Amino acid sequence: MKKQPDYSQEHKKWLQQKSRKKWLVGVCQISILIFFIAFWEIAGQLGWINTFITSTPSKVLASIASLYESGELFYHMGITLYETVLGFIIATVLGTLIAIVLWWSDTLRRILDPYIVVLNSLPKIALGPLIIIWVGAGIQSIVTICVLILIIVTIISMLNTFRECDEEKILLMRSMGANKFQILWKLILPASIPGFVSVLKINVGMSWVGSIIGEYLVSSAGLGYLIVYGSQVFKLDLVMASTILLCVLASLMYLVVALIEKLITKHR
Amino acid sequence: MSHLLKLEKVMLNYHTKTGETLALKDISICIDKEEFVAIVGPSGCGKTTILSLISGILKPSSGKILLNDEPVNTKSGKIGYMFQHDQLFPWRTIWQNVKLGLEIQHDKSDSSKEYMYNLLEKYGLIDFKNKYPHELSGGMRQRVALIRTLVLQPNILLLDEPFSALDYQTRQTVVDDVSSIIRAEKKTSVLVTHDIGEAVSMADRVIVLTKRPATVKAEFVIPFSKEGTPSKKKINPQFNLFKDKVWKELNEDEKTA
Repeated sequence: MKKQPDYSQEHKKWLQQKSRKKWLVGVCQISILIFFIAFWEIAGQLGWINTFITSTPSKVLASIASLYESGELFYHMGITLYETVLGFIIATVLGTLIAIVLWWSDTLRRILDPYIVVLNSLPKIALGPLIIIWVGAGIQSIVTICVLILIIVTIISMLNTFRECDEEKILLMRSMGANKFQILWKLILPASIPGFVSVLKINVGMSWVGSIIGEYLVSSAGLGYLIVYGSQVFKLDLVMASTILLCVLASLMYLVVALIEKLITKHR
Repeated sequence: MSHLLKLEKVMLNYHTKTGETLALKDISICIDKEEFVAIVGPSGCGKTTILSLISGILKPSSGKILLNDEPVNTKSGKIGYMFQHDQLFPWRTIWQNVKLGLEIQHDKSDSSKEYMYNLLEKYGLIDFKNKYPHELSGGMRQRVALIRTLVLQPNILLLDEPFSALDYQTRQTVVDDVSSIIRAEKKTSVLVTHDIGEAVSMADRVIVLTKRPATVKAEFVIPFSKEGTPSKKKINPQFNLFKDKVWKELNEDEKTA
């Protein structure tokens, strides 16, 4: 046990209130989940709801178990995860590189500005059929759709972050005789890390949108595929199970990004 | 005698979409080695522009700016710049911040590192070398910013209102601090400020500019400039006399505006 320092009575009371509140919030969070699942199960068992449409938690679990037994569980999860992570990485890296080029050449940025605006407002999913024809049905077109959804936003936000850098800091570096590459490497990039982290956070959510929509359009495996397949043959247990698995994967990926954030923003 | 820095009939036009503005009409200033010159003027008269010209970041529309009889340019890195905000990089330690200039100039020599170490030691910052800027007070950070420029051994220091962002309490201490470091390191300096008291108490010579388009309106040599720190000079009987003189020159201009 850590020895308690000598706090005043008032401070002890304050600390107690704080920890009680934290405990209350935690209990409520878990209760909501348990209550929801329990209600869902009971309502299904007692026939209050049509389990053919809504399924029940026990059926969802059974569905996940049977996927596991047939060895399909990790196969489908793996495929969707692969598409999502690949799309996420390609879009983030490529988008950041393009943003660097546009920061470097102001003229190029001005020339391309209207194109970026148009591409940004275009619903990328409209390009789906074209992409399938161009790059072929399969994982490659799903990754491409995912990249397309992410990349424009990445370029725009990274470029904004680069351009927000303090003018005086740039002036300072120039007065020390820095060239453009040194300004980029020693100032612009390190100064943009918080902006980069928020782009990562946006992209981690959007990349799942990209891969699932991609799977809806064209796929023969993956969680998105299971959802579409399940709804077509009215196996709603399977649809629910896939959705829940998706929730788990997306949360895990978000946690990884949050961990990365902690690692790279120590001194800010 | 040849001067360290010479501005000869400098004229500068600003170009914007809506037209061109004459910012500086005719500026001629000579600055000697180890001299501390303060430039005061009505707000928006182009004081900061003069510093940008001296640093070589801006080019004059006409006229010459000579440092050691050679036209200035940014490549030399012989100009030290201090701003209103310290502009330390938050992701670098104090040591890494001070080293920035050496990194830019690819100077990895031991003698430069030693010089850097000595400066930090001399001005009481060596114990903080592994700290990050946010762990230091505003006054200390401004001192770090000054040392960061001194490491490159600049011929001339440009101070762009470096004290105006500090609160009143720390301000006078930092003014004394910076002033004594500059005097001790025998640096030539140009200070731009709107605070007349600061100008008179720090500088050897105060130059008053007119409103835009700016020219040199008046010049005052401060006879007591070598007599102690700025806060000590502020209680010199002549201090208020010169402060009034500068103020009158400035005010005359405001009235006609």
